[in-house]
Amino acid sequence: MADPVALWEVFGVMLIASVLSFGGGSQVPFIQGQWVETGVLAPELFSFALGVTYLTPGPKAGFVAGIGYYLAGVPGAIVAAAGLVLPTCVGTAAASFATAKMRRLITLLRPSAAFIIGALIAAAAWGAAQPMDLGPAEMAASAGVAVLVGWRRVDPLWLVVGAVTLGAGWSLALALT
Amino acid sequence: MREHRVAARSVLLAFLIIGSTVFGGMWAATQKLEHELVDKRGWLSKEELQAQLLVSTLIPAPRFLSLGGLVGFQVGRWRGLVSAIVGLLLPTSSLVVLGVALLRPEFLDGPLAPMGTAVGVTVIGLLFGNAYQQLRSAPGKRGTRLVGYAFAALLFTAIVAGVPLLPAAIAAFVIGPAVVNPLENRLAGG
Repeated sequence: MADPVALWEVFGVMLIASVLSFGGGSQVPFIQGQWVETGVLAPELFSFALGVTYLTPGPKAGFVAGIGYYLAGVPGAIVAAAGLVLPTCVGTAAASFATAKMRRLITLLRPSAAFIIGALIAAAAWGAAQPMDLGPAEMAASAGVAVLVGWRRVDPLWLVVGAVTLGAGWSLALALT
Repeated sequence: MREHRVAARSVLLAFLIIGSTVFGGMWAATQKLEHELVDKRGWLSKEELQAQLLVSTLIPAPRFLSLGGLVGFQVGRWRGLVSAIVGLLLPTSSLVVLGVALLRPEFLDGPLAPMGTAVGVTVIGLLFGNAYQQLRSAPGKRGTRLVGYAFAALLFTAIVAGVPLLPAAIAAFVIGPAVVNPLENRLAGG
């Protein structure tokens, strides 16, 4: 595990980290600076919590619950999640009041929204692919998934279930050889 | 825009379903979000969802949770907002805590490594597929769409080249309507 940390500290650090994820930034560097670089939390535990999140559904920010668990058990996981929820509630409420004239905003954005969103998603895909250093077979597999989702509109959940099954089978094959 | 409020438990259920079944973050979830919120429940229009997706990038909080909060607030005010965020966060938080409590870090580079690679490859394909769907569904005349595709390519290139996401998104908010709207109005009127 890690050196025990007070619940208020877990909450405070996660709250600040959440605000710093403004505009697509990540909570990871700030949390690393607070606990990993100071020796409170072992780097492999931090990486493991982050890695497990990529195998779970939902927002990737959920990894903070794992960090909170390492630092202060189940109460730590709960307050870590609370540290995410509070600024999100405040920020979204403020944005909702500010964009109360949604119809005008929708009319303004409608002709260009799909192009902007498409570009942002493609950039996110590129960003996800970079650190993985994909080989030709993996690129082909990604392209195949893109075709199934983009053209055939296959439900992504089935593709992920298929990937997990394939990965499990691959692990088993490696273990047996 | 929707005038009637949605019950908090309905919002919670919808976002529990979304939070339990989408992998790869908000951008990978666009198809599911459209299916659950627009097609199945009619809580908002496709255009409203697109606007919320864009606004969520400007909020000082995790994007996916912000989107949930925006939609939750729109359909159910404060209770809807909290229900949506909790619904999104609960499945992943619970599974992550279970994972770190029951498994050891060596598993990630060992038995879980192939699974991680397979899921990662799938999420990348999923994202590109969603990007294509968004571009394909763009409204407008042919000329507008061609300009829109060029604009999207430019925005993509800028972000890949290293322009931070927030300034890129803000610039897109401003430049996009300034470029695309007048052209569409001209082509539609002409």
